[in-house]
Amino acid sequence: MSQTITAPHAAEPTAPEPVVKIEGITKGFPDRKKGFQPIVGLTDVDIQEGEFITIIGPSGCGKSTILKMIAGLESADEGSIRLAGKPIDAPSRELGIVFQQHVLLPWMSARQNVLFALETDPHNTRSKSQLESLADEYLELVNLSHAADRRPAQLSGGMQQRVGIARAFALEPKVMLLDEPLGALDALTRHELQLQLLELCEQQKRTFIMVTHDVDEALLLSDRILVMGTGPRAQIVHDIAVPFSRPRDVENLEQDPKCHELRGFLLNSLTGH
Amino acid sequence: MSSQTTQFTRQPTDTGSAPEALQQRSRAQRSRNRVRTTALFVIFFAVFIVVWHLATVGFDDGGLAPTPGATWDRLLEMLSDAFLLDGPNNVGIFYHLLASIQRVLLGFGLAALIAVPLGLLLGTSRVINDGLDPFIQVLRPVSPLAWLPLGLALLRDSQMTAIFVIFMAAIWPILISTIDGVRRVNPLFLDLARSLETDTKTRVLKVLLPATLPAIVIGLRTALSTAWLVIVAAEMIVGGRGMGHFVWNEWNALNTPSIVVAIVIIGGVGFLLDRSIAQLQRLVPKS
Ligand SMILES: Nc1ncnc2c1ncn2[C@@H]1O[C@H](COP(=O)(O)OP(=O)(O)OP(=O)(O)O)[C@@H](O)[C@H]1O
Ligand SMILES: [Mg+2]
Repeated sequence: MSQTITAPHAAEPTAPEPVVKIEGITKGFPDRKKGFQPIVGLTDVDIQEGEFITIIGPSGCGKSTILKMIAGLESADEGSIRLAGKPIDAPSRELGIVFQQHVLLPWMSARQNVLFALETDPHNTRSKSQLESLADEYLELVNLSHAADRRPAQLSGGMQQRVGIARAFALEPKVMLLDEPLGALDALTRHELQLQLLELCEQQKRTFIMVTHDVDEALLLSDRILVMGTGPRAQIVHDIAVPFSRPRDVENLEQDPKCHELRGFLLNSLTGH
Repeated sequence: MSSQTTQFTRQPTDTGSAPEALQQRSRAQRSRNRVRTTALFVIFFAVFIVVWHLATVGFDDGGLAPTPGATWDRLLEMLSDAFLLDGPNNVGIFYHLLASIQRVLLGFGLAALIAVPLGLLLGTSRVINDGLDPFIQVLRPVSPLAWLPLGLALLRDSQMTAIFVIFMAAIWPILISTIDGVRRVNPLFLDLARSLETDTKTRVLKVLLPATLPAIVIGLRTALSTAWLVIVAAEMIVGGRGMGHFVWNEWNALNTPSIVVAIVIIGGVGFLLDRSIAQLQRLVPKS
């Protein structure tokens, strides 16, 4: 009889390997006056394939920093982040990013911006016209076909952010990273784009990690909400499973008493009482 | 207080006709301003000519002072002989101008060819920049004319030396403006490029260069006007053809009206050169 069969870690043989595995990362920045300032100190977090994770927390606690580390744009001081088992040590096209402010190249049209992201793929095997129709397809997905030839300066804030979302989706990444994608928008546009995002992620079935300030946005979109505390060494203080079934509907959600309860809890934990 | 409220309440009843009336008023205002500026220009010009005339006539020291009349005659003469090409000493003003423009464009073009890539490199690499910066800081304030004797000694060719001097005049503004432009590129553009796993070539040519282009064009504009300032002085020394040489020659012949005409031509061409780059500036998208 082999002992490995009864070993404790074999007790859950069906547990799939997480897409993103965060293991005890810390990160700080040098500060001219105060010396080294520790910002985040996360314990372990596993993110499963197809999960929609939202990170929520007070301003300046290091949410963008965490997202940048997952994106490979910043390196952690300690600990490791793995993407499908492999450590993330450089940015990768497997991770699509939507930045906090839109980052569209101003000398290119909306279509060219999406196309640029597709064309720069070193392993690209598709023809130029195939890429073009792919870019158009993703612009269509965010309802921007009519504005595809406009430059970013000629687009409204919401449209710019949608181009950014289309670009990240077009990469067809394993994991989508969204840093307050709708944070800079007015309430009406934000609500509209939240619904669009909900639809997109329900039909695309990818893994999402999103940072937001908006409790309702978090409840509407995510499967799991990670609430961060304040720094220094900010960490996750609550890891909340969102129990609503999919496909979701705003109106149903608004009437759900569980939603009210969670909302109150989240707001409380954010204001720190 | 009460008059204010009546104003507020009256306004909405007027709005039906207001935009049309407002537009008409601003149009009338604009054309009136145009008439005023033109009139002012004519008056200033007339006063200028009269003062010039009185000053030169009352200050006559053996015909050296260029009177407006003599200058006008000389202008007509120079224009009719503009394309003259009769031996080395009898060259029309057009060919002098052409020679100057050629030197400026050559020296300026060479400077741009070197300064733009170098600026991109120095702007991206802190280490290389810090190593090279002392050289730039010390060489930049030197008058480009100081390089002229060195150029003559090393190149042994007056034509090449003039181009070299222009090169030294044009390279600093382009280099410094490019470095500055690279530093001010939105760092998120570079994050984006990294996250797309782009190679260095794509990153430089497709992201960094276009994002820096507005700053580069500003550098080019400063460089070209500096080059045009310097070429006249350089040509006075190196000789041959060119506006500077022409001016100096006419001074040796005590022909001051020619110098006045040359000054106006130099200024006009300088203005046109600057305009042409300003035009380029409008084509470049802001970033
Ligand atoms: N490159 C950097 N150098 C120094 N300090 C930094 C740097 N980037 C972030 N910080 C500091 O790290 C802390 C967290 O920043 P971060 O942008 O991650 O916050 P955040 O949670 O995303 O805030 P917000 O909700 O306002 O976007 C801040 O105090 C910030 O000043
Ligand atoms: Mg942030």
